[in-house]
Amino acid sequence: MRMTIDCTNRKSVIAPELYGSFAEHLGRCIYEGLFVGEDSNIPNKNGMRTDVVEALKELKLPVLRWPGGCFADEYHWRDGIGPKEKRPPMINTHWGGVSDDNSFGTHEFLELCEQLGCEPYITGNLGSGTVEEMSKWIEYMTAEGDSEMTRLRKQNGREAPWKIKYFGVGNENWGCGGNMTAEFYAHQYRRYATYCRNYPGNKLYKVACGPYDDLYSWTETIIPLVKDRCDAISLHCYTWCKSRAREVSAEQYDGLMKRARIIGKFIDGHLDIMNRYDPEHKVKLIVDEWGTWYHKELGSVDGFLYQQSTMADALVAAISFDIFNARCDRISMANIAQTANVLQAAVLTEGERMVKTPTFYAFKLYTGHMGSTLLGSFAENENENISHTASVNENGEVFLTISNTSLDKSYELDATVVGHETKAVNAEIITADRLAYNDFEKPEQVNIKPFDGVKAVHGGLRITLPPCSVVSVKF
Amino acid sequence: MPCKCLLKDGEPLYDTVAAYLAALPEELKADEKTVNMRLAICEKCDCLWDGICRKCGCYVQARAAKKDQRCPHEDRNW
Repeated sequence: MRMTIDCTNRKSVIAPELYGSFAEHLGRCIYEGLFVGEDSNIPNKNGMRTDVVEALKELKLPVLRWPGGCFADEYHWRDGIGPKEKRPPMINTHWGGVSDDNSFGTHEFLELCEQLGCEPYITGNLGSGTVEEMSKWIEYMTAEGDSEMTRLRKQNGREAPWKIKYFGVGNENWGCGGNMTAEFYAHQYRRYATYCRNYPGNKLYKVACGPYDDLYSWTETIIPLVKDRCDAISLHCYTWCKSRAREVSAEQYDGLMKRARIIGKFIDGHLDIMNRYDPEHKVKLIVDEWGTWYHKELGSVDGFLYQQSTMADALVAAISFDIFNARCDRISMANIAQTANVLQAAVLTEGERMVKTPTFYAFKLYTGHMGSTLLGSFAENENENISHTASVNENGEVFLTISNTSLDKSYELDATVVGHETKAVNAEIITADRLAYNDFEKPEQVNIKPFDGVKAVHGGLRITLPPCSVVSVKF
Repeated sequence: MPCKCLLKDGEPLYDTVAAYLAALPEELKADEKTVNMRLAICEKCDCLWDGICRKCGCYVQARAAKKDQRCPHEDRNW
């Protein structure tokens, strides 16, 4: 099988934000997964679990989306500031109906982002909140000068304003965010976004609620109405599977991989519509919810969306990254759902224990593309079993990731590399049985290992790609 | 505030747990005395919210029923 990597064909920069994450007040993502409180016996810094923070720093997490998700459109930010004992509890009606004591709020989220060294991406409440509420949240976080909101922020212990770039104006407003029609939402967006002000020293990157999957009618309707008032629209695409993660049949596995690949077609469909109204490509696409969605683990609570992550998840992640990378001229961010203990999580926790999932290792393997420039490349059999990305970093190093979803077929790849020498080659691999996973008793069943199946040959590389594998090559 | 109590027969979620327990192979089940001891500890724990263990996200009665399980709390209460 042949492939070509053309290092003279430099395309767009792969934004590091394509490797972002999402943390919602859902199940044990925020509470227990990221935040345990200052008084916990679990090692923490200002309430944030140090093990999880360190793990996410290993991934160079660029951006974290919060507080939802569906939760965002019933979240009232004022309930989550001030002395914790005075914060009113709320019922998380979307997710399990459990009580949330609001001990994790704006200050805590922004503290977490500071510890992680990542950009915050905040989603405002358009579904059940007011224009004033959204407007004042932005003022509270980003304004200098003297006002009721800046006084309140200072009273709560934060003197200087934060820098907030990414701000979503509502979430899934075609569904849990108010069940709006596209036209109604677009008009609401224009109204709310008007009052999402840029205070001195802060410039918001406003994100309008876009469609899910192939809901092209939503894009078609909102784009003409919002394109001059937003920086991006969002897209939600999940890789569904009607099974528990560890019980996926071979047939379901094939369906899972097909579903992961079809997301590229959905994205292209939306971009085609956006291009008609925005030929200068001013408005970007943000895939701010993606990942596998299985049936919950046995015995776990309905509405907590707790699932294991297997080798199949690492492959879904690799396919998804390649889809986003290939469209990095139009996609400015992607956020996997979710960060800890929910859906396709990078880490799972239980009490003081934490385990890094195969998805974690897929993220880690792909960090070499963050901020690099996409290269023109081609592989035979692409979209069947093989998926790949090639990029070059600012030091001129070429980084190739390539995955094989076949359960029984290995591939011999003859890669012609144009415009770059392939003398020194450094390769790594994630490979395991498709249902292999990491748990608290056996935490390193699936991880990254050195790989000797890549050889430098005259004019390129020879790669032996095993079944069910994700490989990276640096040269 | 959430109730520090186990799920009770007659509550909708109790049926979910009962179905899970019924499907659990006998060889995986803890003996009745052990289960009762575990649940008595859980009932005094602040992490018990409306039948759910907030430490692990499981229905407490489901977790306590399995032989090879342990309390997910960092203090290892059982």
